[in-house]
Amino acid sequence: MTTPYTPAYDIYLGEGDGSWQEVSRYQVWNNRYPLSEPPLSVVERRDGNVLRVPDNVRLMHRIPAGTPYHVEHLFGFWRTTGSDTIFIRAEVEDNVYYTIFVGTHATGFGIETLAWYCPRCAAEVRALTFDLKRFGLQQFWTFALAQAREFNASPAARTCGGCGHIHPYAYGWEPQADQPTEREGRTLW
Amino acid sequence: MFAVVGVDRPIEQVVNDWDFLDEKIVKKFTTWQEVGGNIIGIRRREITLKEIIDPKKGKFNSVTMTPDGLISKNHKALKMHITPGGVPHRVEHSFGFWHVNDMDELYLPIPAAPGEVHGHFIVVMQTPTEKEGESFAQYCQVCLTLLHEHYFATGREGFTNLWHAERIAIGTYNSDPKLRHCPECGHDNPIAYCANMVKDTPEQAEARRLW
Repeated sequence: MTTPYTPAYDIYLGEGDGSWQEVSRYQVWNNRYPLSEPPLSVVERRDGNVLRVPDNVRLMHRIPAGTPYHVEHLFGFWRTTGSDTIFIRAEVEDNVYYTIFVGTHATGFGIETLAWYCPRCAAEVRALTFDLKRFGLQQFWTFALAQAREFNASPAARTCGGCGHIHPYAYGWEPQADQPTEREGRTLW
Repeated sequence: MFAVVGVDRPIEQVVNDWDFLDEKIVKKFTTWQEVGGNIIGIRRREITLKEIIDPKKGKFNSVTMTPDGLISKNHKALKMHITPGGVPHRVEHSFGFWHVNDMDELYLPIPAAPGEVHGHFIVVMQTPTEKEGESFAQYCQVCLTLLHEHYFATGREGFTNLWHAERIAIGTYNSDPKLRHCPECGHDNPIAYCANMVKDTPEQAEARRLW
């Protein structure tokens, strides 16, 4: 058995199918959307506060390892990665090109967290961990969708223990897999 | 949706350097910066869907050594390129050696924003640790035989000492004509030069024009 030698990888932004790719020691996602569509804005939690990253015409933002973040309309939960996530946004003519990549080399890489926080009082409603290094990226998104559906299945699971607010519906990665509740969630947040 | 729990201050008052492409922040990245788990460089260049032009060094042709020979990376706008660790690569007229990095290198050229001349050429690699590092290598320009290699353990020695290692590598190779003479095909190869043009001797400036 031989390992194929790949001296270079090329990824043309906006030309893929919108799925994540594992490329050497990076996990890469990119896609292109019309400028008229709602922006995929990054929000992240720092010290319990929610910070919104402005949708600059050119943006390169680092989400540090261990920082929960959510990209609006892209995935319906808060994700925490074990190594830094880089988010890039570029408006070109009538489109916006988004790129996200995560390096898999960091010693902390591997354990991912999915969580939902109350949008009213910021308390944690539900949190889970996933061993990405062991089970792989594709399994992570499968797991995330399953957990989102479990979260959506009962109002009790979505109710904040602190203030009683009911969290909106969660959703997974692929819009084409959305059930009606997930579609509603994706539209909202 | 998170308006209630959102902070009432702008993000720049809470997080330093939250947008690396911001005009005030991007200047820091003209030299490599270690940020969290990555080392990042951002260069302002003319970036189109066909090519990239370095304002100082001219047309940007990055070359990779493969089992099938040398191939051009053909960098252009909106095309991400990843050179995996261990693959020799160089940029013609930009640095006069082959860079062999233990770490993957990720390149992403973003075209100029409306009203601007230069786009952003983003280069990212993950931070090496312990024994991980990189080589400054020389190969025969005719038959690609390895002539000289200077390895630097960046993870252990620190990224800030890399340029000193580069000078040692170039100086050693240039000081001995025997190193530049290919034992396989007999070709006498030109001298090497550093990435920073300011360090060029007249002979190295000539070599930069050549290769």
